[in-house]
Amino acid sequence: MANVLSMYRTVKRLGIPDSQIILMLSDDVSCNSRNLFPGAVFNNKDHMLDLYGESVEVDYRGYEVTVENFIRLLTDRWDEDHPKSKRLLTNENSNIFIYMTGHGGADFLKFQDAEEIASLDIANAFHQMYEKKRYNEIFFMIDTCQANTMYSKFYSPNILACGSSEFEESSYSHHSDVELGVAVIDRFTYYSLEFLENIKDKTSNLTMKDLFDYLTFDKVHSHTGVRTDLFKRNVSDVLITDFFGNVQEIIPDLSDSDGNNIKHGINDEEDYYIEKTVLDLAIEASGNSSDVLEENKTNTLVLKENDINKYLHNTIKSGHDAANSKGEGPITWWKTLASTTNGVIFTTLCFILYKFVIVTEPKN
Amino acid sequence: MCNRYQKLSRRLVCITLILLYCFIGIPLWYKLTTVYRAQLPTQYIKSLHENKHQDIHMVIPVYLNFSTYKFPDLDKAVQAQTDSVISNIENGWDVNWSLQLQNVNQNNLNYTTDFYKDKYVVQLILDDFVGCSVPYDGKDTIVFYNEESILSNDLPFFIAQSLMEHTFKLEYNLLRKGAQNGNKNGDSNIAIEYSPQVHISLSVLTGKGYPVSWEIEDILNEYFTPFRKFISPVVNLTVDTEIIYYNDLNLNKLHNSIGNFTHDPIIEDLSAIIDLSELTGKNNYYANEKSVLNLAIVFPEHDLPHSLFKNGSPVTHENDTFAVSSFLVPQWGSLIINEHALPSNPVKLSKAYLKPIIYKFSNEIFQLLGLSDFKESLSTPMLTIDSFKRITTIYSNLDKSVDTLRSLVDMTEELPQMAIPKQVADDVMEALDLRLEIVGFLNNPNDETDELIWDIALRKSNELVDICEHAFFHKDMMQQNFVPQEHKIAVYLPLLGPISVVCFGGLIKSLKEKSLCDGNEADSEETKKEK
Repeated sequence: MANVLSMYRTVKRLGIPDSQIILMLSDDVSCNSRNLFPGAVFNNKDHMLDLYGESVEVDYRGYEVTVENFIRLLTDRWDEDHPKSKRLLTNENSNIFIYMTGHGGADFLKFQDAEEIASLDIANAFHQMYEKKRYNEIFFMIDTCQANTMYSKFYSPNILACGSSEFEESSYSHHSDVELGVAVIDRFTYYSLEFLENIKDKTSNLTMKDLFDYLTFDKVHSHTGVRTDLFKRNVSDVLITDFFGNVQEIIPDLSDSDGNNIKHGINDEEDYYIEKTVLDLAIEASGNSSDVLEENKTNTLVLKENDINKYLHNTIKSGHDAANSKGEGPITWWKTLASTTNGVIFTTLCFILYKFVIVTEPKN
Repeated sequence: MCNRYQKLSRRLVCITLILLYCFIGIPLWYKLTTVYRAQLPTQYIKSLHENKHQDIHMVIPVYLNFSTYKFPDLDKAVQAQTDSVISNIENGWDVNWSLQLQNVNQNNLNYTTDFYKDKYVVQLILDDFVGCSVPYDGKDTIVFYNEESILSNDLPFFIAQSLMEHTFKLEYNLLRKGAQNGNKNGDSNIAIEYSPQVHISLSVLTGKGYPVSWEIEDILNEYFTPFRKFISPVVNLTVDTEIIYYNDLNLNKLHNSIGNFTHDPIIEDLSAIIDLSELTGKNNYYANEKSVLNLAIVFPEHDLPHSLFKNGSPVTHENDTFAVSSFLVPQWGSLIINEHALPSNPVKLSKAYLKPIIYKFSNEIFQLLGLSDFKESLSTPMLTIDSFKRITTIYSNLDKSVDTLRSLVDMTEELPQMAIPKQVADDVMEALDLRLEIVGFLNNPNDETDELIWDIALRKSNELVDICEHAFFHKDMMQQNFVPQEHKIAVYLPLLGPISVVCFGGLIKSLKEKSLCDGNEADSEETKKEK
């Protein structure tokens, strides 16, 4: 459980809010009668950080953590009254990070000591997500024995996968806590977190390739695997924060380094003026026009002779003649006029990638 | 001693059981354990997906109204001009559409009747010049013409140009081939995905915990309610308001940012300092609304440096003028940060303070909904909203629905073990019928209805999207709920094994009984002879 909670804390530190994290925990450790520190979960024998201390929002716990629920979560096949906070509400712009850990073997991972999920089950679920455009990119990370087999069946595009050990190879824990009498964290997760601790803010330039290079055999004691053939981008170009962090774009109002009057990218005075009238028009339409700004009432776009004379003789006639003679009607004059009056360009284009993180930890 | 009758009946029972086992039991077992897969109209959906607009030919009626001169055949002349322009457009059209020109008096209806209230009407006005005017509060297109333009037969062309390049500019720009590869919804990075239900959350965040109230009810009634009604044909807005008290909003970090950044530290740090997600997370409770937009008015715990607000808008509140900085957060909403902290005594935020904020937010809602990308047409919001309805009906709803159906078909083909409940097949058929009905509305908008035909088309297309989504996300379409075909024997072996052993064992024994019985009879005859 410490594996999952450690990863959960890391992605939260990097700006992914709880509302965009689905946390599935067996959740049987903190209050276990054998836990010498009731209510606390540690990932290090020094007990410096209580992972279960504050602000942990578990979405699925205990017997809710089943293969069926996990597949339903990915494919979003729920009852209609299923709460939004427990659903993966992603779209084609969403980057999804999925971390799984627990006991596993060749092509399977155990859930709750009762059932198991097969690699093909996850692959099919991903494909259903792909068909419905429920993701932009997926980063799948798994820490279990023979972990690399779990992503071997994937066949949908835009999935980057990483596992802790090869086929017929075990994954190992990092160290044991003598006081607790158990191993508290696994090597693959431990060194992943150690790398992620180097990311101090959301503007980090570290890439996925840096992470994969960091997870060497000397550290992990097993052969980590990376699958990139389904992924379009080069891993050296994929920022860690593309999956582990959330960079929310904010566009300022009425501010520009050149001092121009920009309103969210609208740098044309007329457009700003015109936009103001939308609410006025709504108020007028409702019959309550007493408070409408007087200057806006005159806002009617009128193009008259003085404005169009210079275009009229040149473009209208030629367009008209062309339309009559060849049956073609090149529309140029209004267009030309419009382009001179509307310099509407979005100077700040921002691409939002909603990061969703699914952290699951079947019962160990 | 062997009874022939008993022997025969026992054998008959065994054979009957075996026959039941083979001809009823096995088929029944197979039938009951086979995943039910309802038939979907796969080929039709695939062909629909390959050419999504194959059966759409949108027709928009336009009426010509003239008073000074009578032009009995002007509608035909303008029709020829517009048809010429439409048919000769470079690269062709992604969606077939056309204008249907008619003279106002053609229907023997006076122009003043309600019939023309929501129609596209071209008003022809004799003047000294040639020009075009589009009022911002209506759907009319006013074309000024002079006698020279009549003599040179330019008037039909002027009207056609005015309609194509101005009144229907949005369609003209977006329905052409290739245009749909760009952003149909405008700047989709800022705008949320179209949804007929959008929730608006208005919040005041105070960093010090001092009491504050606001005249939000008056403001909403006076300004926002008319706006909601105005935009209701496109999207239904629901609103909630709240005041959130914080011990500390951490905005003091902005002080430390000054000097560390070359420009706009407030922007660089703001997303980290203000926890927008906290407000967003709260909105998860609005289960019925797919989309939520926010307006957050933030009062810091201490006055912020004036330098941060050098470009902010001055706002007057209770004889005090101070600055606010406002920010547009893509797909989230609007953030207003005040320069000054609230005083310790109770404060009421007045209408004068809130009015410009609501004005600005209303404009931003247009942008966040994807409407105000069409700024060239925002001079005429009525026309823009009408065009938006048609564009949304086709691209956001009809296309999305066909995509969903195609995904459903592909998925069920690729996962042969996945169940297809009957409900899914029913939904698919209903969706296809509804689609045809919507296409009918688009193709023939002259049907007499009390409601604007584009409103009906949009409303029904929203239903269509819901039906398709319901079909795709049917909760019984879970592969893991059913036993895989290859594992069926293994799973049922504990049941089938004992039954098979008993049945076949009994049959074999029964068949052996005849010889055993014959042997016993021979033995008894030999014994008799010896005696």
